[in-house]
Amino acid sequence: MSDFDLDALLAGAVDEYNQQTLPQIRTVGSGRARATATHRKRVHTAIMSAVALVVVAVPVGVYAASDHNHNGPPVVGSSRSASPAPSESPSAAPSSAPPTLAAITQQELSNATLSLPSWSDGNGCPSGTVKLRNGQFGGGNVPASQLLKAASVDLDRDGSADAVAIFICHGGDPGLEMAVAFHRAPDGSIQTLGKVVTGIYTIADVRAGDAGTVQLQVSDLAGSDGAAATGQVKQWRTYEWDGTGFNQTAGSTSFTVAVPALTVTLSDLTFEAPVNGKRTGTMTVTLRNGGTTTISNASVVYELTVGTVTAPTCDQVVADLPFSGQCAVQPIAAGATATVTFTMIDDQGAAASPGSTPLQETGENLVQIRVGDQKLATQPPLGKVILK
Amino acid sequence: MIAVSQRGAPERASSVSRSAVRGPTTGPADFEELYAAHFSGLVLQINAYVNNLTEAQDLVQEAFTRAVARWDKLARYDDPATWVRRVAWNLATSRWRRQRTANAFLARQREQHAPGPNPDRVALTAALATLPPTLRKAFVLYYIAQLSITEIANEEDVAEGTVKSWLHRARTQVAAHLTDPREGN
Repeated sequence: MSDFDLDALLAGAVDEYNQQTLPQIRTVGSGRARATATHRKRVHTAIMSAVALVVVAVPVGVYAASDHNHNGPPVVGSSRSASPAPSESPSAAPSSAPPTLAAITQQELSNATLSLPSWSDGNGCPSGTVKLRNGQFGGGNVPASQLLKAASVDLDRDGSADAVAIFICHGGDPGLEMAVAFHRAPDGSIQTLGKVVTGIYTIADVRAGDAGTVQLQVSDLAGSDGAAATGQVKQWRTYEWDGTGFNQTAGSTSFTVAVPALTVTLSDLTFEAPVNGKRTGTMTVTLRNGGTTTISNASVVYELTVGTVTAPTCDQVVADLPFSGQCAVQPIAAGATATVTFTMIDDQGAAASPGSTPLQETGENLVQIRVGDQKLATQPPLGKVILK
Repeated sequence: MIAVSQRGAPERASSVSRSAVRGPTTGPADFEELYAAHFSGLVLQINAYVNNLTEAQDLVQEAFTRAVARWDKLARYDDPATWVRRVAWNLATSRWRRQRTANAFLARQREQHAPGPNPDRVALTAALATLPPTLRKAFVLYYIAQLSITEIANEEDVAEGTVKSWLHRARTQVAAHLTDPREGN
């Protein structure tokens, strides 16, 4: 076929496609898009409010439980009030009692005027004095920002609950995130203790650790459409306040790790000839320990969209996504080799084209080797899809 | 060897107006205007890629929903349509769609499939379905979205030569499928 004929053929097919498909398109409507966005915002706000209510309820519940032993509320610090009910208004307490330093809650932070440290990568993100309304701040001339989550923790070990909050600034895609610690001043106001961490792509969660520490769940990828999923490395890292700043005291300090003793190779993904219209494919991951000590915590994270993986059966890393998983590898003794063989069925025609195609051209496929909660700094290259 | 031409090539001539498919390069003033100008054109692109009109409409609607949620920011962009197109494509090629596909896959096990539509009507999408995703996307962006090779290279973060190679292979395979008498039945 000449170039001219080829061009005419393709132009005709595209024209035909456009003309025949356009009349069938059902325009859902911009109003529906607005309504959906508004609904999601309301649901998100409701969820965040529910979380705040739980945080508020905890101190009351703790007190109520301790009251049943008739020993009165626990006195955890000299500044704590001995008034019988933490939820009562200050005016109800005896005038001679010291002021109560109530825990800082997410609900309180969500509608407070705060002093925020600078972000890791400015980008116009709001810092300094910011006023939050329902957790939102910024907007207009500066990027819209919001408080994502907060947790109570006694960082300075003075017996009163401080708080660590996660903020996001939508100054880019993905947005910038920052964890900031706050402290209750004697006059009841909220003071900024300091920045815990920023500059990590995602700070997904926060919780109190042991002995005045705070733990943050961080990850190495983010995106507005949530596409970063399977290959995302998530870690809990522990931070401690030393009186002047925060230091990491536990957890991994990097998302990647170099393990020179571990050599990993991937075979091609080879599909056999069709049987009853379906091809069965296999791909082997080989891990060789060339070192002198056992490697006990290796795993293979995969996302393979060429077909449906039928074996091995591994932990899911993304809910409701059968194309992906994390397979723990048995401990690999020094000098030993371990293999993980994937078997899959091409039941959706994804590998219908005969011949050989680089795996990365057939979809968003991933094979990632991890040791502990870190991924290998050098990952093995993907092979090809071979159809027999 | 079949050369892949640059912009304005006669093989991309189409009776569908360019604005309906790709839209202007400057942003409309409001969200409703953006939606009206680009919804159908984007569905044409995504449908050609996923070969499922209902899913394509859902994906494009989702992209516009995300756009209106941050319209204060997007309205300041020179070309918010580009943002929406990229989100729609990201959804089509990424986790969100695969999650839905995975769920639908399970549901399909129980479905009774009705006879397919007229083969002539789906000739192009049937041909595109035989391409690997990368080649299919390149074909759609070039022939239906009417992006230039340079624009595709920028969007995909690859060299222009790579895009030309993709398009060469895609054209050849699509043409072979369209002319193969065993296909389309």
